[in-house]
Amino acid sequence: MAMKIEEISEPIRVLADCTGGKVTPVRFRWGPRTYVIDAVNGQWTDRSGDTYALHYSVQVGDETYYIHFAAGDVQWWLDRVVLEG
Amino acid sequence: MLTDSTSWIVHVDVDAFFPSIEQLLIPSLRDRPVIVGSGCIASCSYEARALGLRAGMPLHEARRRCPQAVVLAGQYQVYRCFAEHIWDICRRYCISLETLLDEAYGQLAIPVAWASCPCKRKNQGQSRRAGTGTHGQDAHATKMPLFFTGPEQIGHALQQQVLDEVHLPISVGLAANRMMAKLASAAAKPGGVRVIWPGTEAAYLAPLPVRTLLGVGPKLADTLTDMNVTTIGQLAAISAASLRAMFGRRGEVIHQRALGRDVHKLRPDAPPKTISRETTFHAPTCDRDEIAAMLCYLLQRAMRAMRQHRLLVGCLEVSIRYDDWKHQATRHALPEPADTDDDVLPSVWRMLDKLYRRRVALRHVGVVLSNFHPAAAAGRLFAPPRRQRRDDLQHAIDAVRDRFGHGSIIAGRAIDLLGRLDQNDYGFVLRTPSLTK
Repeated sequence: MAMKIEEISEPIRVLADCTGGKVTPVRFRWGPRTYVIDAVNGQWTDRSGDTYALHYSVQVGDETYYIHFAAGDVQWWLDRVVLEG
Repeated sequence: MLTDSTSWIVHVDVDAFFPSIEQLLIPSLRDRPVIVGSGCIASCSYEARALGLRAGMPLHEARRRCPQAVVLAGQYQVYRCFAEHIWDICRRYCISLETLLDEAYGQLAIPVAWASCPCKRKNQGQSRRAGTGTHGQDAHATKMPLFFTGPEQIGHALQQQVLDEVHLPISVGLAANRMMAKLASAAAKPGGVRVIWPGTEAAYLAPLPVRTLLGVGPKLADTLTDMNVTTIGQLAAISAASLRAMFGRRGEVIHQRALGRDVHKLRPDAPPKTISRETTFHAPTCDRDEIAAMLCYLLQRAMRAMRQHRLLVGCLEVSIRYDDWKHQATRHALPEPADTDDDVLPSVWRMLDKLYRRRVALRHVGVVLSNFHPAAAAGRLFAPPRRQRRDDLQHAIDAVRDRFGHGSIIAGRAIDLLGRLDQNDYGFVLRTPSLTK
């Protein structure tokens, strides 16, 4: 099955669960549509200079979305989408 | 029970590092052959290895052998973040850690980690009875035991902790020295823990082929094979004096290693002998502005890394690879050690002019800094004011980059890369960034 990766780099709105000292995205709004996150595949922290970004790979159905929270500008971003088929 | 762990060396190797991360982040890649690389395979998953693919193989051949493989260019910045997380976990078990791209050597020091844990003292009574440790709420999550019955248990604990927190498989080798620890982790792959007990090194090595011994390359292995020496045990049986007579000083070292002795110490804070930065262009180019811009950018990154070690560069090497894979390099000794980009760049331009003579596009460029001198020893007592201003400017640029990332300031001819390459906080997104330390 072919895989397609689309670079997006657009700001998004994210509803996240911040309990237990962890930030777990639950759903996000991109354009007119709200995407409910089924699972967080992986997460990592990218430190650059004084600032940092919390990155997540999240699963919405068969699609994988890379999102991140940039602490410097306090903004969530949708980085890329991985589509199957 | 392990009472003194200070002499144990642990080697941690992340299994199929790049593809494992891709398979973690994109679930549909799991159980599928995954290749990371552009031009040739940088790393491939175990599923791909089972189909005959290997690191270094050209991508066109990999595609021919395994058309169903998923080929990804790689997200090297992401890999670096995952590696840092794993090394942070390793540091909980080690007093010193020497990290490479996807592997690390550490000196085990569980008693030190135990004593430094604040919640351990508080919960010491219960923990001893229970036999498991608590680090407050976090400890239950990390499941870090307080007592270990032996090095193997430590290896399993470390492996489990990496799996719990980072969700990546690692192989762990434990032994009395670096060389044996690396051999142990290689034997433990994939996803295992292997201990080579002190005193058993020679017996462990004896049946292995000589080629597996550190320092024995293909040429030396062929020479040894011609002498009917095929195993490390046979090599160890030859006296050190005979090996020295045949191979010089190297012969003595090989003899020691054949007996399982490695004098190579962990050097987590040792200054580097060389610092290099290299990359492949997204498409082969003969645009001199683009080539110069890339070399300028790579040099700035290398020089900044060097200044972080408080070093001055004495020797500079520039290398190029043409589109027909012909490789050329030239080296230049600087008239005096330097630490600012402006001191070195004129030499780079001269070297590029000397090297790039053919009317063929370039696919790869790189710079190597070497022959370092300590910055403090070569301080400029009577630097002219202009020179002092240039040094101050360089330090100011470094300070800004340290705070906001290298990409916050694009200087010199590297400006010509703007619009040609994507950028992030770390700078330009290169096709094949050099990730070696």
